[in-house]
Amino acid sequence: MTSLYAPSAEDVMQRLRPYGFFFEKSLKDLIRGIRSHNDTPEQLEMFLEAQLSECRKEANSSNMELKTNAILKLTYLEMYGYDMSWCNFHILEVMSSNKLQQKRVGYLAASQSFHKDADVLMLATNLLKKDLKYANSNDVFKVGIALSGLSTIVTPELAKDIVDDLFLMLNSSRPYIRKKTVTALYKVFLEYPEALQSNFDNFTSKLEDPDKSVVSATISVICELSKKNPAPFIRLSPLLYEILIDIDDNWIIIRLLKLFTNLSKIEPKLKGRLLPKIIELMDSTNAASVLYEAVNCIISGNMLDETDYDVAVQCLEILHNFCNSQDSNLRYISCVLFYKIGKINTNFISQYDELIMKLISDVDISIRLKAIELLRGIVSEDNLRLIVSTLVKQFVGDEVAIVETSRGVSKEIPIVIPETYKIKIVDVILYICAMDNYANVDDFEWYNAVLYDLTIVSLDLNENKLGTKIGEQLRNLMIRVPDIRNITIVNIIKITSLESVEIKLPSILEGCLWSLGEYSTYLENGDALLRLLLKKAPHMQYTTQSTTIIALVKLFITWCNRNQDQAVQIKAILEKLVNFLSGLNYSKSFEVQEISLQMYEILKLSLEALEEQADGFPLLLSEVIPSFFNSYELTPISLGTQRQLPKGIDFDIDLPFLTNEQLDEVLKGQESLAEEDTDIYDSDRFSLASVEHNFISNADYSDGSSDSDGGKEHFDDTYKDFIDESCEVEHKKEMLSNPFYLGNINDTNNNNKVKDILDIGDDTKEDSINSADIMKLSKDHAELKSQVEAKKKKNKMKKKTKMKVLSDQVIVIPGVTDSVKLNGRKKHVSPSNSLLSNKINLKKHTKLEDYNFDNSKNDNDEEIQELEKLRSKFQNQNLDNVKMDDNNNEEEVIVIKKKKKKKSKKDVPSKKSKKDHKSTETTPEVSAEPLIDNAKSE
Amino acid sequence: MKVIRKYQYQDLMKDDFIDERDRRMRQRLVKFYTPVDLPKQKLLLEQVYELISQRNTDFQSSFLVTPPSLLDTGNNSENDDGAIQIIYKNYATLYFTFIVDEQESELAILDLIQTFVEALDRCFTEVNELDLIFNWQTLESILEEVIQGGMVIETDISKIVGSVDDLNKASETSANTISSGISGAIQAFAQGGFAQWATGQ
Repeated sequence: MTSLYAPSAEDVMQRLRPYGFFFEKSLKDLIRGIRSHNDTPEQLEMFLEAQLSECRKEANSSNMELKTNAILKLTYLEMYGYDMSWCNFHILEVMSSNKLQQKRVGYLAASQSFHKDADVLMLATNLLKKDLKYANSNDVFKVGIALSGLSTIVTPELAKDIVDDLFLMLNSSRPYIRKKTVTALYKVFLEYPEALQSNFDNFTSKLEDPDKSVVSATISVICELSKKNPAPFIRLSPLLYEILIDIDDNWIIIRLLKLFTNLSKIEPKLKGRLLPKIIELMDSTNAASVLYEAVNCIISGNMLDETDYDVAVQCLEILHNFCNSQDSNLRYISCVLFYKIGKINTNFISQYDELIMKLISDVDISIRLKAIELLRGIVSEDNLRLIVSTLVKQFVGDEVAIVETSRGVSKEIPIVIPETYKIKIVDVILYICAMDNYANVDDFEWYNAVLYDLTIVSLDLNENKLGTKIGEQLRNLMIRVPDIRNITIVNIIKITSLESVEIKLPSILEGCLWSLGEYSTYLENGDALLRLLLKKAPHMQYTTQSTTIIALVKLFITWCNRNQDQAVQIKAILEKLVNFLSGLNYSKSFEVQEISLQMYEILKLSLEALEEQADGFPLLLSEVIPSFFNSYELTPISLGTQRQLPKGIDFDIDLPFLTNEQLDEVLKGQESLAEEDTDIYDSDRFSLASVEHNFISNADYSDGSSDSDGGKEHFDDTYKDFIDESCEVEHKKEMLSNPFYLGNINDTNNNNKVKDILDIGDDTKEDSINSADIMKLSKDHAELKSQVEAKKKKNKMKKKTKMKVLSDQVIVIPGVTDSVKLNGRKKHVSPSNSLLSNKINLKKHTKLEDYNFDNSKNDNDEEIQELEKLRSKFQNQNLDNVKMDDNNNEEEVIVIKKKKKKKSKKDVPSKKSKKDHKSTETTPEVSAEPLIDNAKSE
Repeated sequence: MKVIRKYQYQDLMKDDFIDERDRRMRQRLVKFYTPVDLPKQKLLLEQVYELISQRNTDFQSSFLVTPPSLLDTGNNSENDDGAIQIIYKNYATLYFTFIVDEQESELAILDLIQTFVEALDRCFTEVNELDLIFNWQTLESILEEVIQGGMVIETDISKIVGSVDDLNKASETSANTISSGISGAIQAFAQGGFAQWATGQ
């Protein structure tokens, strides 16, 4: 490849010493030294430290060559993390050298180290102004260097000082200078937007520059500016449109498309003109990069409406082809655009299910990661199972191997499935199954099995969020799909009894345990489960523990009421429970302590009652405690309903909860209770219920919440124990407007449910017993198998009928708007944003974003006023600060002088012809693979 | 590494040249066009290297999908086109990596990397990693002709190489003409008052 453009040895030699051969040796020595001391990091560090102190000495030397040399080395060493801002003044010295190569070194160093040093920047201003002038042809390069330097170190003050000089240079006869000036102006505009406003036409006239590089640079700058503040550039649209039609340079076309994207976002009228042209461009171009950007422009520029099926199809066809390409880059970016189109209207992408299914098995995981986002657009009842099984198989990991390399040989490279992707899979499966209130799930036994599999997978994923989500799904299933509660609860028991689930995936337990407690009536052998939970509970996290405590009590109550005859076992379990709770009375978590104490006291009383009352079953266990939990059936309500409850409603606190008659009834059963904190509120409900004899088997009001908000439901669990104002209000309201249960409705329910279980067959019962046993034995595989078989059997018999899924109840509370709930939600988001502050944010906010080009007159007025104020203030201070003022004046004088000089020397003879000779084209060739597409300006 | 495009924001550019032999990152050229503290720069480089080195360029795309944790990519903001992207290309043992914002076209950046590499190849005639290691200053000067302050100013390889040559020639000339009186010039150097002041410190 050398022969193609055959540079002479001299040419090459010359290129290799851009900063002058004088320095070459010592920088090379440094690099050589680094390479020979690279065995250990310590060795390298010692070497570098030694070099640094040498550089420090050299930088202080009065020999300019030595100094420059030291600066060059320091600039190199900055890459290794050694700060060089201490030598900023030396850099300044080198920058001001008369010798071009020293100047280059100086500017290079300055661009890396000046940005924070205000003092040096101030001093650099004068130097820059000086360097931006040219007196003879050689100065072209000096100016070029200065312009590059200016682009990296511009400050608002510097921008103001220098802007007039720059505008003069826009008219330079050298395209090289013009393009560099245009680019440097970009940074100036960011800091000093007024300059753009007053010279708008002057600047934008560079769009019509005869030199393509200058046009390209101008478009780039306008593109960037328009990202920050598009409004002033709208009126350039016709001109830009002309350029788009005429130009054949792919690089420029892409920049133009980006620019139009920015403009079209705020000016919808552009669509009418632009869209046909862009579509035409899509038809005519062969370059993938242009095609891609054209589609991107349509999508990101808001030119695709929900109803534009024709355009959407056209775009999607292009992307479809890209997605089938061999080039993983094309596949990846097309996936991203697919997603954006899907977001505009999901129907656009729904027919591409085959393609998307292919993409979620792509060899490149990063493409899968994007494609998997598309699934929600194509999922349906028909393909849900296929999608889920495809995804679940990827966890296995040995699917992994089949890859063909580009060299024609096919090699097997295992595809590494990163954890982030696995987490994403679980997330997406949960999402697509649950979306639209489980509209796509036709078989909830299958979904239960999926949830179990996902749990097993998530155990090793180390992502607590997943546990919460799966737990919520299980809880949702319990609440929303009443027909399969007996299956779901078996699944939950299986999951809860997984070995060390409380350590590996503790977050899943909250949903599980809540369900177990709430639906404990479905369980026959609550005692086994109780024993298991008691064993696990001490290892749980605090948040889980507080859920567990309530669940344990619910489980116990349900079980002991059903087995009232087994006094011995009941006592044994109750003792265990009381023991367990007493241990938690000293928990470090306040929440746990509080709940455990409350439950502890009540259960201790029950235990005493049990011991005293040898003949019968204590009322406390049979009536009072159940009434805590069983008064209402929970139903799902829509998110935020609870927050809409009006606050501060008056209610009569003097009204006794119990009439004397009722009180007597209670006291009759258990005298010792009266003095303690037997939640009066609940007793009230119980007794009210029994008075009214209102038996209704199907509750249709909503109670608190049971929806997917974790914290909320914890509240539900516990709220019955506290006489909380809002609870009180809520329940009063319910009592007024809703039918409610009797305390002993529980029994009727129980009967039904027990019957349910019997109907379904013995194996359900067995399942639960097995599971419970398994926990005790901590996992017996044979048992598990038998369960799976039982399940399969059931699957075969399963009926195709769609199960009933309860949907959210919407409760409209007059006078309360949705904004309440929105506000509540937003608060959750903000903390994560503030976390970002530690990160590197590469997007700097600049003045340009806030600058209003229309209102500038007002701005100016204000500014003038402010200026006046400042002036009068300074006048007052004048006497004190005579010296300072002098300095200021001096500077101003200098500024004026420089401007004059600039104007006086309009132009410079150019070396254009020479340069043009040099740049005759040769076909470039490179050792590396060819590009997919050339967007270069060749 | 180098470059990144964009100007402003991040345009950080960086090219990471990574030495694969011992799986340790060796940067050959790093350039940030948005100021970032040195320790953070270093950390960012390490994170980017770590992520890139886990990928297989034979069949994976050139886009780093999982951003380094240190980088605020803007993905969390409401409009998802505010994103910062990391785009790299692998040549033999070298990775050229650009960190750019959404104003840059992904494919165009890949082309730009190609342009840069071709320009290097032209300047060195058959460039190899050793050339790049020992000619860091050449890399800097070529890069400077491609990207100025984070903005792409030239994508024409001939013009890029031509500018580098011209600049070198001019540097030499000025060195030769003035260097006759080199020692005297140094003494007389103190033209700016600040320069005197700086040395006088």
